Amino acid sequence: MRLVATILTALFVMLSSAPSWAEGKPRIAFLYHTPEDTIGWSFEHDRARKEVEEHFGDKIEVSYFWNIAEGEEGEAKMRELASEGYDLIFATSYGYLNGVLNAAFANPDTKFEHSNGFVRAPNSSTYSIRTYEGRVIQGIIAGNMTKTNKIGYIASYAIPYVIRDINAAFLAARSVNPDVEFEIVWLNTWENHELEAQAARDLIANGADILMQNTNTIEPMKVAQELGAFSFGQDSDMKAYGPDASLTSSINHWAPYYIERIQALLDGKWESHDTWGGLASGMLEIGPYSDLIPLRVQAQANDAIARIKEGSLHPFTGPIRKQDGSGWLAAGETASDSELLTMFFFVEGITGIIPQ
Amino acid sequence: MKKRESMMEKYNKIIAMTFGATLALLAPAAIAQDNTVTLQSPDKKISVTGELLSVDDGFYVIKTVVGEMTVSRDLVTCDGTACPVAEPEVAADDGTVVLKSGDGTTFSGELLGFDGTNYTLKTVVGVLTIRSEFVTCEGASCPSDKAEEQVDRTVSLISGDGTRFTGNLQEYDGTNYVIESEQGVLTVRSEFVTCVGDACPDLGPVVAEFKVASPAGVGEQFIGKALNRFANEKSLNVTRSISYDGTEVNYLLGNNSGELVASITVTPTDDIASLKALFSGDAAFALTREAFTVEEIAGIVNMRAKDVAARLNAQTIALDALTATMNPANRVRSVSLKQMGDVLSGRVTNWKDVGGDDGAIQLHVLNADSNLARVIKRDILAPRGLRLAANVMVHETLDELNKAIADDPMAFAVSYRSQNKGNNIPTTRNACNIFSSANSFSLQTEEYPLTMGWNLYTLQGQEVPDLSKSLAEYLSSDEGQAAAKEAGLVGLAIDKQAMSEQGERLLSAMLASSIDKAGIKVYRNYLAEVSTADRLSTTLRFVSGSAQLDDRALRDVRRISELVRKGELDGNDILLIGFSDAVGVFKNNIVLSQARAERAKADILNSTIGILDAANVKTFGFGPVAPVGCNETLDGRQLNRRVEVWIRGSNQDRLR
Repeated sequence: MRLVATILTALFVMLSSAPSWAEGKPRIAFLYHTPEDTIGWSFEHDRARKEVEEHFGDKIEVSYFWNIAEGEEGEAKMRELASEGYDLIFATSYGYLNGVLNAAFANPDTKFEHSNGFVRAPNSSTYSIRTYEGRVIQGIIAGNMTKTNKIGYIASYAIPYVIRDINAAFLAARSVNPDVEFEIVWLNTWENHELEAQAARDLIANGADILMQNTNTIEPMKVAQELGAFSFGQDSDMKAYGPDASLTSSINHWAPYYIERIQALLDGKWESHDTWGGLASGMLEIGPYSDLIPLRVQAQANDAIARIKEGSLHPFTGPIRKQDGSGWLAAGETASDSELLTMFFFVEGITGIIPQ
Repeated sequence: MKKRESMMEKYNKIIAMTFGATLALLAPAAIAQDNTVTLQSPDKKISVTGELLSVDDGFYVIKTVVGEMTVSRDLVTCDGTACPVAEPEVAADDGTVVLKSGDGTTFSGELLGFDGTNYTLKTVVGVLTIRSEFVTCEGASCPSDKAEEQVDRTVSLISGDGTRFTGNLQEYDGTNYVIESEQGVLTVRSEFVTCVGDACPDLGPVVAEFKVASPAGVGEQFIGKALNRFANEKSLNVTRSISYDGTEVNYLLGNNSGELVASITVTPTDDIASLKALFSGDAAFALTREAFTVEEIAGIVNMRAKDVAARLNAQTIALDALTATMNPANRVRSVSLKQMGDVLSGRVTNWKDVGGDDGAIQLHVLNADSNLARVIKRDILAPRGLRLAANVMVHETLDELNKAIADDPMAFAVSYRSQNKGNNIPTTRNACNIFSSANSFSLQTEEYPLTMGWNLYTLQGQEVPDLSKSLAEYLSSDEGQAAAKEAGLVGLAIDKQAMSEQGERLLSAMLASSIDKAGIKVYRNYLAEVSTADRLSTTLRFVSGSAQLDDRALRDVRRISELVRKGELDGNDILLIGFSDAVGVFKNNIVLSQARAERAKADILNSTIGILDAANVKTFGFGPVAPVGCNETLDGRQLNRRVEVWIRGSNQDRLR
């Protein structure tokens, strides 16, 4: 009997080591947590999926599933796909976290890519974007364009991800406009149409003429368009919803990453990894500029993009003090990734409060 | 397209080959035994039931109907009482930590490492790599910024008189320090000592946290705007944090260093829920759209009226009113109270019956559970035994109601004045044809018949942060009242109205009063006195059946004395003009109203001792002339018993 077990185990090990796919093709799946959309978070993941299919053509088989809810439904779907023999599953939203881990441990053969996750199993990877780099461009443009010197920031959660973005935008805005002020509203959600629209109205009513957001919907852009204010596209180019209001956008471009990971899979070199890509990696793109932005300012912004990409401009370069007046970065000193990941303070000059 | 074979299918085939029978055919033992277990593949497609004979590190040995089998532990799950209990990978006190993320996801296990960016955690399911920026670490093995072992935990606690206690700081719970000194373990009340030493806790500002219950919409705006002004005066910054479902707004007040000083949650609720929240200790104070009697509150919170009265502080904090509301294009200018009831109950259904053009009236209302519906029923319908008409359009929110009126030229509704944005509010006429528009002055003087007083309720002896008491006080201050005005309510700060703006009121008073020659003489006297004066927006009224000023009047007296202190009334005389209802002999009413004015004068001088000269306060009594309410009703008579407050240049003469 032990022999049987040994044989079984041996066979199992054999079968799971070298990449082998029926018909020689790996099967890739993409899960989106929202219904099919023409803009926004999931749309950009799907746009990358299309680029992937175009790039690899026949070499891979791709399936994609819209409207798979985070939580139990997501987990069940991932387990199902894994048991059906999918080789790589892209879980394109933070909320799939527990599902990814459970499915990953139950299916050590299958590989998982979890967008914006922060936990990895041996067969799952995480990936996210250095959104704070995009905020530098937004800050430069907003600081130049504001007439009221007030920027309204619609924030989601008080986590380093968001605090970092606010700080980067503020520092960049102040660098071109020493009088600029931010008003911040915390919505405690990534996505809520009513709350985002209301927050946009409140901020504009309170004097902001330019909006920034960490939340996901098109509502702030629509409100800005309606009320004659400006805003920035989030995740996607939102010019369609703000023909006059959209100054530029921070666009998620996942394709370079997806192509790299699938290639690794094909080469048998896929390993669990955390990837944090910014402008240089191509994962973050800056959308088209509004014609209302003076060419001088566009040049400033483009220059910043170029220097960030080549590494000569770091969004957090001293001298920078913390909000409480204590020192942080000395002149010329740049913040390490570790500091960026644990940023729980605002920089000096921001009057907003971080909820505990 | 041929589906790729799963691992389990291959497994299945191999087992089948080996045993010459498919596992799927194995049936569970007929009698469940103590050590019967079921081994299942993760996808549940393969299942084996039998007696668990032994377990070791890698395998289960199970006796099935076909014989003994050894199954790899890591390929199956075990179900049954005989299954080995999954042992925690780590002993509880050995390197176990709990990593918790902002949304409540928890991972616990043995901390294998931390590289500054990621935690490597060995959990029961496997080894996880976790990005540290998203989690907090709890447990003795958590990495810390400063190696605590190296911090010298010796502290000295020094009291005001110089007594000193030195020892190792064990604990600080906000009230006491616990130190281990040479003598032994001492517990020291922190308020009496200062702590000196590296290990002393960082006593940052204590954060004041409390909740405020308030009506939604206008109420929230009132508090929000008042909070902003309040924070500004204290050099604090305000940041709003909205609950994920949008129901509550948390106002974070912080200093310029970004330190949190106060966290105030504003919960929008209806009046009844607000009062309950106040008495249950949930809310530090409650704002309501109208005043409640002690008996009503006792009923709501299930207490004895006596007990409620002993604890409750009430204060009118702003004014609103019920008004008829129509589409802006509607040309009807005036609606009587009676007509309001008639239209609401469906007795009147055509606009031409209320002075408009021919057309069917479309009634719009707020849902039956709303405060508004309740108040309309109580104040307009029930007194006449009427019920709401059946043919109404029901709306769920005040905003929707407003929008519906703006969109419908035939619309009629009764709503709050503060909610009315741009719609037509007609003048209101009472039964004796006294008409008044719902402007802020007529609300402040309470001459508008359907005035509602917003109330602020607090409880005595509450354990609430001082800041909440300060904020409650602030709401009734001039600045707080300015916030009320910005939110659409009418403030209680005293306003002034020139004679030229009094036309409507004086005219309708003239038309409405049935007075004889004597009365006309008195009325001319009144007009002569006030023709060169300005009226203040306060009308002093009395506790029913007594010579005592009521609460609102007492506060207004204080407000007047504030104006005097600030010098805003310098160079003016204060004219206190008393009136009565029309019941009783005319001459007696003159005397009575004069007495009222004298009483008010006494109270005003009392609160301005040394500042206001008695000679600058003149009193008059004009009895039942110039009524503001219908003398035929109880309420109207109460309204008429009043003292008006006017100011006139000291060098100004009355008209001769």
